[in-house]
Amino acid sequence: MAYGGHVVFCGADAEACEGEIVILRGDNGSGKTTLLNILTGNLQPSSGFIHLDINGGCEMFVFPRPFWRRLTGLGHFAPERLARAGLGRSWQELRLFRTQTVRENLSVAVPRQLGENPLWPLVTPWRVNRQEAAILRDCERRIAEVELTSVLGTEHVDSLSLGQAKRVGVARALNAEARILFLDEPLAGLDRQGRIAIVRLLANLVASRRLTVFVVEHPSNIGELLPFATRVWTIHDGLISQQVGPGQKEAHTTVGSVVEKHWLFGSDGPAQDEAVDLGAGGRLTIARSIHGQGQLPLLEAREMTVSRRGRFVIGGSKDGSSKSSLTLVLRPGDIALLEAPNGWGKTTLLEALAGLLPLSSGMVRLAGRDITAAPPWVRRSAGISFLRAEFNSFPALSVRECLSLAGVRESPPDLQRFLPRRVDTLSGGEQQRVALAIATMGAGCTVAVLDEPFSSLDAQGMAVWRRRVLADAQHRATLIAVPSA
Amino acid sequence: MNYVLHLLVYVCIYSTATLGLNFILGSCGRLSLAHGAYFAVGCYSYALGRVVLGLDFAVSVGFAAIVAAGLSVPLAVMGRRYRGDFFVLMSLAVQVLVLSAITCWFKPGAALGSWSNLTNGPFGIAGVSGPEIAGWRAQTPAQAIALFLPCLLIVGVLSFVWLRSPWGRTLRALRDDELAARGLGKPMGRFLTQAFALGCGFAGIGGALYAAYAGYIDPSVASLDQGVILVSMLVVGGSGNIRGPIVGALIFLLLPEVLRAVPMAETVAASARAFIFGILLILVVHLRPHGLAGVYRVE
Repeated sequence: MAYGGHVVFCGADAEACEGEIVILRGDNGSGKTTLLNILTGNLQPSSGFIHLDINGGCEMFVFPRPFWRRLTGLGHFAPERLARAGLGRSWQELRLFRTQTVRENLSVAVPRQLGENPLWPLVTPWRVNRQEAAILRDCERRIAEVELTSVLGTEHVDSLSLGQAKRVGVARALNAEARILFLDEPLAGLDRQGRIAIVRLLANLVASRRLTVFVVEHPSNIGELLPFATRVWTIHDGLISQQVGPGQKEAHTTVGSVVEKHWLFGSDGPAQDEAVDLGAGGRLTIARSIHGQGQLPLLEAREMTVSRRGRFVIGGSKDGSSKSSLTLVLRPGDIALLEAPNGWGKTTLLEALAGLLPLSSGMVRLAGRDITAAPPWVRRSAGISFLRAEFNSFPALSVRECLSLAGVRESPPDLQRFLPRRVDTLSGGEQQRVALAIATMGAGCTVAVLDEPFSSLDAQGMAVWRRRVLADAQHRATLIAVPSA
Repeated sequence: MNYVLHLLVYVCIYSTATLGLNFILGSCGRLSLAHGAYFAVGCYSYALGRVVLGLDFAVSVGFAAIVAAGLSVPLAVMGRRYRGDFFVLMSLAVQVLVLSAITCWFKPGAALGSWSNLTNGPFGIAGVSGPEIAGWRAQTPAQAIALFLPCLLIVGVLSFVWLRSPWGRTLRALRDDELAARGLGKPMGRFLTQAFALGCGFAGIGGALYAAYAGYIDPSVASLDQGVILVSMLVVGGSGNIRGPIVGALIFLLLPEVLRAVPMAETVAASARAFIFGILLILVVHLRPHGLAGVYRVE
């Protein structure tokens, strides 16, 4: 399988049985998502064959497909074909149906509905209604299985938290009568509570329904899944190697989207540590550097409150613990780590600092200059660089073009081999490295504000980035937001 | 009073066609500029059915619907592969093809309806018999409404049933996120073909009613203007339910009459009306993207 000229797989083969949890793991760019897309019909391999044997019915797809098959579309290797055969998947970016309610999201997935042929609702509406009532009852049962009964009536899927939305996605795939589930990074972006819930859900599903579950996860998130895995496929250099039985828990799996302070700040520690409890589970740890102690603050945010759609996200008091307005002062060399659970408002806070959201009250100053009312591009030229959690690079540009757009003078050595390639032909982790380079190495960057920068990186990527941050730390202030441990 | 009834007849006609566009633009999310072309296909099919084949009113309307639905297949095939900008261009191509076919498919001297002269070209088809049922012919606008309103009601009820059925729900899921819906096993091609066939069929019915009322049709019914007016009606009125298209048709047909009350020089009046339509469209899209009575926001 070649991707944009870059060969990903060459002569790969592996197997799995019913009732197993298989973990697909590999470094960034090894081809985990590619393999997942091939196995679910979203991508066609360059050559080889796929032999489907479902309930005795055999089918063979040979690649590359002959031209007459491509023209007529008969015997088509398509996602809907494989889905009807029982291969379901969940998506990394969720892909819930945004204009529909949770109930509709689940009901839509049920296969072989009478009402899907426009003739029957006209001719025999009573049969269609009877089937609809049965489908609704099934949805309630399914939602109870994923422990989300409270959200069944939700009107807008946008108002669900990330963990809830991921569980709705799994429930939807189950509703489509999937016997084999492919999960693409189910733990990404979740805080500890969310991850425990998903892992428990998967274990229950496999045990009660004898499903086969394939999980693609980054090495940094795998630690919590390994105890449940019956098989591990490791993808390396275009080949898949299998290990049966739970794999070894690797030392570096403790580092991940949940960043530990000590890893980040290093044993050659900072001058002093400051820990501030921000309420509602949020915690800010600032490693102050000796170098910056006497200097003027680079970034000052005082008494910040931010509201969204009339509701206070930062500042104001929340039910239970109060979240007072935020005050943050960073001097050159300071590294601040904001750890908070999902839904706390990390992205809202960072977007307000970057100028993408207006402040309800408070003030932001950069090197003494008041930028509270300044638009994002003025803030960027003043020196605040912002890395978003998603959609943080330019898919249609080449890596070289992205770096020159950001004013990066010298391209980093680990990105040299990607320079001529388009960003959208890179894997998730590789794109994240490009985005990090754009955000932290751009021209005139004095304050780096990073939203979940480690989310797709493997161990090597994180090590490279940590070296870079600590090397430049003296002249710059850094604020990093991650989901809490 | 007669004039108001005359306008209401046109409201019935255009509401029917816009309800069809609701399936294509609202439920499938594909902006089609070819809807006016299918309206014209309906006009000509009705006219030929009445004049050449001598069919009844109801049978001719049905014939128009079937022909328009059948000719929607190429558009549906293109709709499978393209969304957004490319699909708009493809629909423009279909529009131009239909217009050319209607304008050029004639031969002076050959009989109407024969293979060498299907449409009478620029001369149009005159003497198209009006609406009648069981021998009773509708002579005045009021009587025409008596026949057209039930048509609109039937089309409205059909739309309502289909939009609320599992079929409509799956169609909306395919519109929201095609990859996710296909990953659940929904065959996109089949749903799209059905939606386009029903949508263009309704456009055909609208065209048939127009031909029945007007009595004379020529290639101008297939102009791009018709397609743009239908799209504007849907965008301003709103899509996703049956209220929106009807509200859109009412606004676009009644507003010029309201503007007649505003005193302005005759030479300026027509351009002023077009100008006001343009402003109205821009305002609605900017301030209320859902349309005045719709549920779906056309992206």
